[in-house]
Amino acid sequence: MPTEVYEVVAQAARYWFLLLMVLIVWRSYRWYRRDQKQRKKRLKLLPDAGYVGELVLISGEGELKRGTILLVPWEGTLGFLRSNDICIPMKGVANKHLWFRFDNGKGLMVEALRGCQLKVDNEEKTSAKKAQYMAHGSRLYVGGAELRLRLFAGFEAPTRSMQGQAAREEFSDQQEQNPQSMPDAAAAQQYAVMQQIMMQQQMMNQIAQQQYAQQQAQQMAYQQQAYQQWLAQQQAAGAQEQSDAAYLQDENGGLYADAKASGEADFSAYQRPPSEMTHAELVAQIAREYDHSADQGNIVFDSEERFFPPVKGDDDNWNYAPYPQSDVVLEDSGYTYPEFVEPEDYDEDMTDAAAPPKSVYVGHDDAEQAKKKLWDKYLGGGQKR
Amino acid sequence: MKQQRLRFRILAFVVIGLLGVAAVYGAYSVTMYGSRWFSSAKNTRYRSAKRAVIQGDIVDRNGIVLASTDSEGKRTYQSNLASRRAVVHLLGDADGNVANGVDSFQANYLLGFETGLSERVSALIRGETRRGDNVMITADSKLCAEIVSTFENGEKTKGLNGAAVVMNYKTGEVLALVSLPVFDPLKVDESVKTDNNHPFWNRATQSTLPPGSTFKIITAVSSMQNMTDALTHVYECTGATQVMDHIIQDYGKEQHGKLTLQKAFRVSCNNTFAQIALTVGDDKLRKTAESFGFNQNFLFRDVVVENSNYPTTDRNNVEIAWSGAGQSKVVATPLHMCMVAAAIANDGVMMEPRLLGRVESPTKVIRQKFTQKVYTTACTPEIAATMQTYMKDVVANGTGSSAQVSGLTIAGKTGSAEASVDGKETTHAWFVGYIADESYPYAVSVMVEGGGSGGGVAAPVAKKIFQYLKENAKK
Amino acid sequence: MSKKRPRPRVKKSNKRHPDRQLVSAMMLFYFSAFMLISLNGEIALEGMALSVVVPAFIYIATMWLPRFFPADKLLLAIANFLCALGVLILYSTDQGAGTTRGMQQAVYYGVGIGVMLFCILLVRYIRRWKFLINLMMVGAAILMVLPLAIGTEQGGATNWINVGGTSLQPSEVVKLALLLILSYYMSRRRFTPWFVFAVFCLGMLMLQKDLGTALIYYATTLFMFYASTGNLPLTGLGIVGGAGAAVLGYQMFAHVKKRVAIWRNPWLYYETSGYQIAQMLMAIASGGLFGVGLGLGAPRVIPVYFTDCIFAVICEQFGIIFGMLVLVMYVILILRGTSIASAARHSFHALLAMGATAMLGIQTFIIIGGVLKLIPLTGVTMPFVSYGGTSLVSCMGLIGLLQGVASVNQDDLTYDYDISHSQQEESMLPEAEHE
Repeated sequence: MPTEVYEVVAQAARYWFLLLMVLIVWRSYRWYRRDQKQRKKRLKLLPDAGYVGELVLISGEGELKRGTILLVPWEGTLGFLRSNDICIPMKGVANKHLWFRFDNGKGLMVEALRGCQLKVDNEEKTSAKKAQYMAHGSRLYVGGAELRLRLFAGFEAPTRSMQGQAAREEFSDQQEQNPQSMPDAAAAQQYAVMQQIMMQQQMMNQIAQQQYAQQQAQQMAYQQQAYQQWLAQQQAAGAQEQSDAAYLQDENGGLYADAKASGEADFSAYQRPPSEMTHAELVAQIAREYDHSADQGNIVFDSEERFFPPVKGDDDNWNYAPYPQSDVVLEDSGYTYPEFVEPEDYDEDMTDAAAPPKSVYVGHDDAEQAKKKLWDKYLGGGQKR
Repeated sequence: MKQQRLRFRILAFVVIGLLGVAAVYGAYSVTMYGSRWFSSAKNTRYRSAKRAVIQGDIVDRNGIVLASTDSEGKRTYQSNLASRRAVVHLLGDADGNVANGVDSFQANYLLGFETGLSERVSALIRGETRRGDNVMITADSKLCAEIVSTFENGEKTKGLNGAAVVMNYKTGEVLALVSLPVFDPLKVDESVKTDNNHPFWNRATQSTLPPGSTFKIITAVSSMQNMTDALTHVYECTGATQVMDHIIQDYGKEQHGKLTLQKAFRVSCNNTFAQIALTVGDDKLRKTAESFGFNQNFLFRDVVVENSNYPTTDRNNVEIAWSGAGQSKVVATPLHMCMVAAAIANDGVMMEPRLLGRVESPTKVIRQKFTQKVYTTACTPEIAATMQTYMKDVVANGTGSSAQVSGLTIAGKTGSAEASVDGKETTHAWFVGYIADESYPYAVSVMVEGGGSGGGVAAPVAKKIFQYLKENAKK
Repeated sequence: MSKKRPRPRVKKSNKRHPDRQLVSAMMLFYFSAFMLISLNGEIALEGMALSVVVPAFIYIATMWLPRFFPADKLLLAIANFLCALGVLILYSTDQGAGTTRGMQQAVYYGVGIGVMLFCILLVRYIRRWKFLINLMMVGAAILMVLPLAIGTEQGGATNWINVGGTSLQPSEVVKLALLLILSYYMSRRRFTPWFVFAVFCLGMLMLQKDLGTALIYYATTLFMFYASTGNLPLTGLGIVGGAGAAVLGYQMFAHVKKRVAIWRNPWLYYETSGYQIAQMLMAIASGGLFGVGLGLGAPRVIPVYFTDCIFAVICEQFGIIFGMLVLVMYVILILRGTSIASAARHSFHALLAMGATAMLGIQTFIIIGGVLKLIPLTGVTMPFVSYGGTSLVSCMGLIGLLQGVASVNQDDLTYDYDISHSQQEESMLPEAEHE
């Protein structure tokens, strides 16, 4: 391109570049402002974001009343002035008394600033630049005030405050995996406590199992009893009924046909055949079956559950029969759900409003409303933000 | 952490504030000084621009073409040698040896930097080389030639360096800006470059010299502003005034006896003005000087002038006394002193010196017309009126009698400024004055380096100028 | 079955996607700019290729990179824009000069991105800093001494070393280490280690006569000191000490005197040392408000136009309004950095972010002040824009540190969500940023 033409083009282009630059700067700034607003909104919706716990004022002289709760952020200073993160306008507290920081796994580290004294739990009062760790429930004594720390759940902090060497050293991975190698007595004690708890839980598991087994055995005994009574009744009723009873006992009986003819079904076949085991053996057998000692943690036992072992057919196939221990095979065993039937006169040009309801459970208007809500939330809308 | 966040905010403000200061300073300096930087003769962008654009013509107020570009792109000047040499400092030469001549200072017009996009496009379409704008300056080349010839042919001024400035005190138009020695712009050779008289310097705007007794205008104004009995006070001149361990004497060791301000002004008595300076005090005198433009940063649109200086440090009584007489370390340029005289003539209003008369594009579109601007109000009209009387008195009856022209009322002030140049004591001759006539509103300042007596050497040159103006000036 | 009912089309609006808006504007800018340059004189295919490659890079770096790495999009966008601006200017001045600075800068940019990612991951994933910090102190000390031992002199300062063909400026690398070390020790309220280190670095820099970098180090240390302790008397003492050192330096070093003299009046020393500043001023003045146009003007007349004085070249070609807008981009960078620093939970991260921001801002101020003749011109470069591998890489590293802190902040916030809020409340929060 010859120089003169290029000159003209370049000189015309400078306005274009300037315009684009203005646009770029404007959009960057707007993006920055929008992010700021979003951040503010987020923080407003999470008023306790960034706090690890609370300090509760137990005693002291000053402006705050007993029981005042002060929120503790991750890191900050504590003192008399309002410019501190935790402001404690009590007697004896310096303008800037101490600084604290929450160390994951170790608790709230507290260190006194120059010339100030503090005491944590039962340690001696110290003013040296020594880091002390507070755990959930530790008490902090600053000036004349006494405060108790309550950590929020979910933070990794030991239940007992850890002082001494272990607190000041960095944790190594090894230590975390082999708690037995922890040199400290307090840590070992903690481990022992945990072991105890685990054992307790195991014992509780066993007790629960025993109870369940007993319950099952009781129910079966009850069923047996009922059966016996029924048998006795039949015998008392006469010979025809005896043959009937015998027929009922027969595994290959046409029970189902009789039930259909008589109009009612007899569910006595649900009962287990009488077993030769004693009650105690039964209990033990069931307890063995339901031994969950390998499980740790919470197990919910639902006593309503009934488990019946399935019955294999002659050709080693599992038959799925409506009643157990009966090899009656039904034909046409599909269910029909009335709501999925298509009406014969389906008109393709029918509008939504005129169409019959698609579901018997949800009304048409409700469905439309739900759809609209979904639509607004994810596809359209968003204007309110 | 809360406090820390606050401190973060503060630090961010500090950093952003620093950047803001830089931005503001940048914008300010580019607006104020940008044209100067751009017009600096050392700007190589001209060379490339000159290749692409035909430089426009420079025309004087009477239509005489002072400079134009020939078909090969070379800059040509008038054929009249005398005229050509006389305006060389005004225009500048082709190589940029003269600083801030019109050729380079108005290059943004002459080289077509101000042409709009549409004109460029149409020039492109027509396939012609672009032409820059033509600039008409307010100067009168014949007057400049007259001044140069007066200097070079006058017996007392022959061979001496100097400068002369002629301004219209009502509008601020500069009619002549001449500096001697002059040279021929078409013949710039080694002898010119190595001449000890530095012909490339524009003494009218670049050399700052002690104004000598011409400064007494300002001292007198200062006494009127600060002394209640300024006009009636009687001073005693015994020929020598002792200040500290120094003796102040008049030119030629004259004794004037008892004087009033007017008489002292008329005869230019150093002793009186030294006493006035000491009475008024350094601060007040400086204030008056500053209101007349001393110690100010001159940033005129059309002309680049060195700043005039009234010292602010190391003041003792001797210095102060001599400052009243325009000596010691008080320095000014001839252009500035012309502005001072123009201010008095214009009832205390000092106009900015303007050179640009009209700027026309090659397509006869007027890009810029002459505009005048008030630089500052130096003193009240009453004081100015009194000073006008005094200055007329000087020419009528006093040291400036050589500047009289029949038919015109001339007002002025002479000055013989003592200075040391290269270790040698020398006396510069000054004359500042104006024509006290509405139809010829011109102020003049003449300076002859090493000329000696202002009334004897500088005033006759001014007379010639006044005569020319009377005969030729069209308003 | 049933006929498909027409669904209302949802417009893919940009209104809720500020990143797309910004990136598209930037891409358009660079596309048109490179196309224009490539038409200067003969058609340069390289330029046309760049006009596609550079916008593509901006798109990739700003839109795709954050998908794989935790990055702050706004910082990325602005940093990429400035880097591309540098490449643009360098390429336009390459035309007709036969230099290949534009392409070299593009290569350095790639390295810079790598370093930035490294810094992001470093800040985000490392929780135990002690070992690294000690390592860095030793390494930085060695790096600072190296130029004195095996260094070469460039431009009056002995702070370069030649490594395998390319020259490297260790003080730029040590800048990052300085930030980490300062923030580590200041957040733990331990005074001695960082003080000793800072004094050592400053001493080394003085010996190497790199006064611009020394000024940056000093100012950053001072800013971080004030931020972490808030001790006004000591900070004031620091400022006074710095001013005193400056005066002392003026008295002692001849070249400082020279620099101050040409700052005051470059025209007097035009033939020798004032040439650079005078040419810079003339360039800025010829640019005027809108510039002379891309590819026009005479930028190469300015000595060292590609590093220190590149802002003057920008002002000449694009105008001073454009130059001011570039300044505004830096200001937005600083604002963003400050907001990241304010959002940090741990003092270490907060100080790190603030230090990086302050360093960037101070460096920008020093160079722009020098170009506009507000302060004497020193040897520092303009972040992101100037030519220079080490400087570009170290600035990308700074941005990486900032983004690392931003990602840590995001993690902390998410941690808070997880441990303190139910699913129901979370659904009430404003929708997170689009993808």
